[in-house]
Amino acid sequence: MLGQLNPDSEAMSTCKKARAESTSVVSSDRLSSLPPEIKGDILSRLNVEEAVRTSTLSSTWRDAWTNMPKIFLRDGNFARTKFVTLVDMVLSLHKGTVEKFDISGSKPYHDEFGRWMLMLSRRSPRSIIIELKSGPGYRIPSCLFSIGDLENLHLQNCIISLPRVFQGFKRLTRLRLNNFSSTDMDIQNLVSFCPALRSLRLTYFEGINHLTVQAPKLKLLYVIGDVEINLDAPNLEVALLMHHKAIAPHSDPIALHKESYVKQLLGSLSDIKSFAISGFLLRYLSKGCILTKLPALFARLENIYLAICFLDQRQFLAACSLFQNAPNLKRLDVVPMQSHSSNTWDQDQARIKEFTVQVQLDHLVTASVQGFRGLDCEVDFVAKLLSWAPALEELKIEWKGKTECSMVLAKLLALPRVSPRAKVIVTF
Amino acid sequence: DLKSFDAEFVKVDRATLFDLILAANYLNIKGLLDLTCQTVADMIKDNTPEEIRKIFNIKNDFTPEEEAEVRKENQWAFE
Repeated sequence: MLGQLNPDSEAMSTCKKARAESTSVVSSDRLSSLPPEIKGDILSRLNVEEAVRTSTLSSTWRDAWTNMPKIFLRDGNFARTKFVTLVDMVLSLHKGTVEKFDISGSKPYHDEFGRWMLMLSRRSPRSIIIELKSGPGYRIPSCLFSIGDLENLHLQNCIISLPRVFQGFKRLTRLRLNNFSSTDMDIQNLVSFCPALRSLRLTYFEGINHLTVQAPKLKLLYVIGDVEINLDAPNLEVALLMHHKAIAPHSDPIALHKESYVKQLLGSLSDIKSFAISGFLLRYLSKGCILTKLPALFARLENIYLAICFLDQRQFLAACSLFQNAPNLKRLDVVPMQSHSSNTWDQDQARIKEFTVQVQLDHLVTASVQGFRGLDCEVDFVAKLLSWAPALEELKIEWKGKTECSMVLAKLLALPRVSPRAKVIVTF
Repeated sequence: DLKSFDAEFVKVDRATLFDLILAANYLNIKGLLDLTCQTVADMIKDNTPEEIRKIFNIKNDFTPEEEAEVRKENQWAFE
């Protein structure tokens, strides 16, 4: 025995080898020995079916998926019935807290939707994303509106009808509704019962025409659709207001009303930092051939994104009014829109070159034109822009024209620029 | 650019990757934790349980009957 304790070189190396082997076997499965919240994080990054499959790896993994904090369901390659079973089983077997529930599908699940929402609401998730694109809109059941701790809600292709007793989402900070139908009252109430709301996106909707948005903490507002908004959001920093259909020509009384509406709307946006707007809305500001005085100075406005039809004189003049009232503008992105060349349209043809508008964009550093087609009016606008911006460093032009571009490029390069540092970059 | 830097950063051996995860967790560095956990998730994705065991040296401590039982319980998640 004493002899065996003598450390001779062969015994020593055998000992070492045994030690090395034992440590490598014990420590090499480091995945399984990760703390449970990290395992949960990793499993959450998989689609649910992949996470469930880890249950067969070893006994430590058998139940690991039932505690994963986020559930991602995609119906991708699944047959409809198989996906239904998947969702049913996940919602029944999952037993931890659900931080985030994200389901997206391209097949119809109207028969199952009600029970899924019921099961989901019992888990009190903090974030819900539902993008079930197929078929008629899904009516959101009242159980969803009773999830008190909800922080983030993103719904697509749905019908929003508030239950009679709605306590509100006291902790909701982000609300996004896309392709939905509802009523003025319902959306108004939904917003006002969410006092912590910071981001609101309402895009492509039906049934909403006049909306009062009262949101004291709101920082971001995106609206794409034909709606008149009465805005009370003193902390708003970013606003996007676009129409997705061309506005039909209006009779004079309507045009007058629209003018005061747009003025009032702009007045409520005077403190924002970033503004995206369509020219069709702006055109009501212009009385045809003169610049109107805007109700407010946009002292903090640094970024403008403008979807504008340059052939429409009113839109161009209204845009100039806006530029005149945004002395601290740093970045301008312009998207030229197609003109709606219907004969009934009261369109004053513009020759942008001929306008001598006094616009000073002293702080403008970057600008871009996205979808440039090489039309004369577009080149004229670029010429004007280059003459308004003494601090301009970069003007990016994204070429989408169908015609031969070398003539237009030559014109662009020959344009005089007031900023010595200005670079005109054309991308294809 | 940042994406390729990140991709290169996690090209380490498995042990180092797990060290990074634990360090990021302890030091509360969200960006690093996101990157490393996503890397591990990507290694699990698209692999069969047997392949996953091989990659991570996971010892299958199920008896054949137990394994069949678990598999049957969760049959709905398999192809």
